[in-house]
Parts: sequence; C-alpha cells; structure tokens
Amino acid sequence: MAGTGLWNSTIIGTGSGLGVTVGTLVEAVLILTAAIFTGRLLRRFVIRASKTTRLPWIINQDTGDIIFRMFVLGGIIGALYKIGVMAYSIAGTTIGNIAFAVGFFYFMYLIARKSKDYLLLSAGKKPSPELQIQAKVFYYTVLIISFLLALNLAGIGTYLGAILAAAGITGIVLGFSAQTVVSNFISGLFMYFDRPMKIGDPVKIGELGGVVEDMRILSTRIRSWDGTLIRIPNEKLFNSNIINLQRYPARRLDVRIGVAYGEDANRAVDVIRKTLDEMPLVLAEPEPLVFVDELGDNAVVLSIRVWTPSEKWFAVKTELLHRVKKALDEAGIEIPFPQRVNWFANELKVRIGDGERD
Amino acid sequence: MFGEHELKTKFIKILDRRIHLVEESGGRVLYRRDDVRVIIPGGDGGFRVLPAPALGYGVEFLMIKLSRKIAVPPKATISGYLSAPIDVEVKAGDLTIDRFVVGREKYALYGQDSMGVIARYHISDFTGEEPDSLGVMKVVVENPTDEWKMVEKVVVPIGGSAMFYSEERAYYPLVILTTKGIYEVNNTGNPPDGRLKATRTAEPIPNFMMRWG
Repeated sequence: MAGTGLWNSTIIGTGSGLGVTVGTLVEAVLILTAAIFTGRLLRRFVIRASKTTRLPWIINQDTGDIIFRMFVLGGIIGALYKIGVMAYSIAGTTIGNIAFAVGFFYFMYLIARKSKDYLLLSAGKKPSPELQIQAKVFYYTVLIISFLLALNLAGIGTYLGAILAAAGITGIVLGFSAQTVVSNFISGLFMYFDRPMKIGDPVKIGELGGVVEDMRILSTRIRSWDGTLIRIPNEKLFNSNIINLQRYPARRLDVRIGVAYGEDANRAVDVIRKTLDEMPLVLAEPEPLVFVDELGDNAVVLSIRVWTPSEKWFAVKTELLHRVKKALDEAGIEIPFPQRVNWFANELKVRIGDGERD
Repeated sequence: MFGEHELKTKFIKILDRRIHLVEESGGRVLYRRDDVRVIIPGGDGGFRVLPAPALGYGVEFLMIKLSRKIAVPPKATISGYLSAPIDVEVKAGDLTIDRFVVGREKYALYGQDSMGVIARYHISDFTGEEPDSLGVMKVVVENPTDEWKMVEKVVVPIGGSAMFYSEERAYYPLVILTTKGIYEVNNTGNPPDGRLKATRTAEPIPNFMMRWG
C-alpha cells in the first residue's frame, strides 16, 4: 500500500494542472532510456551493416547517426507526452503537435541534406555543375514541402493563409519601423543557408580577422587574432567579402627567396627540396614546387610553393623560412644583400696625399 | 619493446626515439622522453608501451602509396604486406601518459583541394613476405569484377582503430581492398595473425570509399 502511495504521489506541479506523479516520472525516464538504448543499438547495427552492404551511400555511419538522433528526440517527445507537458494548448494547437512538427522538419532537413550529399558523391570525382544545381533544387524542394507539412502537423496549416497575410502586413510594418533589425535578421538567415563559415573557423572579413565565436540572429561575433571581441551586424557581414581560412583541407604557402648569381641555382633548388621533404607538415601530395621564378636585380629569385593542412598553415609558414635559410647557409649558398655595380664612363682618378695617380 | 615493462631504471628504444625510466627515492619512477616528464608511483605492473594508429597531429586516414603498382586480374584475390608508419602510446594503467610519432612523419592530401582529406602518408612496396619494418599492414586485394584493375595506393580509415603487436613489431588490423567501380577499403578490425596481442577491443569502423582513385 505504501509503495502504491509513493507511486501515485505528486512530486512536480502540485496545485497546478500538471501534477506529475513518481510513477509518471519513472515511466517517462524509462521511455527516454528505451529510446536511447534502441537508437544506439540500431546505430551499431547500421554501422556493422555498412561493412557488407552494396549501398554504402545509404547504409553508413551518417545514417546510423540520424537514426540515433531520431530515437533520442522521439524519446524526449514521448517522455514529455507521458508527463503531460505536451497536452498544453497554445494558439489553438498543443505543444505536442508543435514539438512533433519541429522534430519532423528537423529530420526531413537531415535527410534532405544527406540525400543531396549522396547525390553529389555518387557522381564520382567531380559532380557536374548541372548535377550540383539539381541537387540543390531537390534539397530546397524537400525543405519547402517538409515545412508546409510540418505546419499542417503542428495544427496551424488551416491558418496558413491568415499567417501568410499577417506575415505580409507584419513585414510591411516591420520594414518601416525596424528596417535594420529585419535586414540583419534576414541576412542572418541567408548566411545560415549560404554557410560560408561556421563557429570555430578562422576568417578574414574586410580589414578584420579572427576566429568565429558565435553566429546569432542579428550579429556574428569574431574573436580577433589579438583576443578582442568584434561584433559584426549580419547585414554588413552578408555584403562583405568573407575569406574562410580553413574551409578547405589544404592551403598553399608561397615563399620567394633569392640566391646569389654566382651560386648554382639547381643545387639551391635541390637543397630546398630536401628541406621541404624533411618537414612533416609540408604535404607530399600535392607535390611541392621549387623553381627559378625571376632573374632579379640582386639575386636569382626562387619560388617555393607548398601545400599544408589548413590548420597548420601559419606554423609551417613560420618554420619554413627558418629551415630553408639554415639549409642554404649549411650548404654554403649565399642569400645576397641588395647590391649595385656602378660603372663610370671615364676612368676615375684617385688622389693620395699631395700627389696624383691614375 | 611493445607490451608491459617493469618500473625500474632502463632505456626503451623505439626506432629514433628513446624512453628513459629512472627510479627515484620513495619508490617513484620518472618517465622521460624528449621534453616529457611524468612521475609514476611504483607498484605492480601497469606500465605499457603500445603501438597506436599513425594519427600524427590528428588525422583519420593513412594513405600508403605503392612503390610498384599492382595489376589485379578479374575475379582474383591477392594478399600481401605493406610497411606502415605507427605512433606509440605509453600507458600507466588505463591512462595515456604520452603519445608520439616514431620514424618518418609525412602527410598528404587525398582527393581534391576543396573536398579531400589530409592523411598520413607513406610509400611502401607490396610484398608476399612481412617487411622488416616496425609497422606492418596485411592487405587482401579482391577484384570481384570482370576487368583487370590497377591498384596504386591504399587509403585506410585508422581513426579509432585497434592495433596488434608482438614484442618487436606492430600490426594494423587486416585490411580488405575491393576493386569495385569505386575502390572500397575495409579496416576489418581483425588481427592479421591469431597469435598477436590487441591494444584494445576492436570496434567496427565504417568502410571507406576511395573516390579519388
């Protein structure tokens, strides 16, 4: 009897409409645990299946992760349903409907993104521009249809016309009263879908440079190289040239170095190549290039072009010049100072003491 | 070299690196390797020097370029060995106290400038016998198609991979390369030889598609 009493005793929301009992809470936790466990099991199963499948584009680790997330979110929604939170009404619908609609849209978004990636991957080494456009059209079509379906699932589909009309009117009002805010917001949305950068990426934006700390609705925050915070309104960001320094896996480093005209340029090239080969972070592929680039005023200018992992570019830059200089010094190859040979049309006369000599 | 070591004063040499254990007062032992210093309280066992996948600064793939390409006949299966770079992990109990690269360290971009991955890079011959190198990888090349196929390199997913070892040598798990339309690499997680010890329980690793040849 005592056990039944504890099971039915209210622990959350006493006095309010919620009234969660110990039993309900335990059942909710069980639902969530079961969902996480099943999700993990299925993810493991999918990863194992990916080793033998003939459809690695579909059955792979990403798919396993999506299934796992689906179960976790399902478990959370199920648990909240059990507790009764989802039955609350908001604007003619329930929180449950809205949560289900958000979950549905999220997974359709994941599936659309993965499908687009697989479509591009299945094209082989380099997908054609036509295929890239088709993949994007497919992606946005699925997103739009999913969004409309999600509105229906949320129970506000019947009010869609009214919502759109209200949004139109609201848009006009906002357009006049809060033009900057709306502009920043819209730019933020475009930036989200355009994805020129993500949090943690080192970037250069106009004169500014640093690491992306946060991307918010109205502004983006950059931690500059010297450790200060820079807030950039999204509208300004959207209209700026953004250089993402680590978007791609590798970056090229270009260095020019001069050797004296009296030195054997081929020998200098060999010494530099050997030095580059000994540097782990100078990539073996694409192969480093070292060549005579220019016959300058004071030196034979050698050009060094190497590829490095993007995140190691600066470290390689600081090390490369040092090591090349040291290697050339050790090989006895002179890096000349700027110098000029003056030629005089008439022979010079040098005066020594009181006398005069030619 | 690999395996469990007694905590007493000694040198352990692994290719170009040296680990130095120095007994100190109070039964403590000082672990030294280059600039790394760790004090380990004495006691029974638990100090192990183990091979680790050649992740280097934090890559997930190992690209082994073959010094001699392999031409694989239709429906044929060929097995052989590659030399492979490894890292070394030093553990006190379950705690990793040091991890370092041994031998030559080099990286390369596998794939395109915009979509590829950075991989640890190594050049090896494909031999019928185990090579005389610290790290060894056994590879089975399967050609299920009706055409001859050329193999120039093997790109293996090694992030999270277990390793196997004898006292003197380290082994990657058995790798199966299937030369379908796009070559597929399976890091099986299985030992190439049943007599070897494993560094830990092998977890399944998703197959890798060599999209860029």
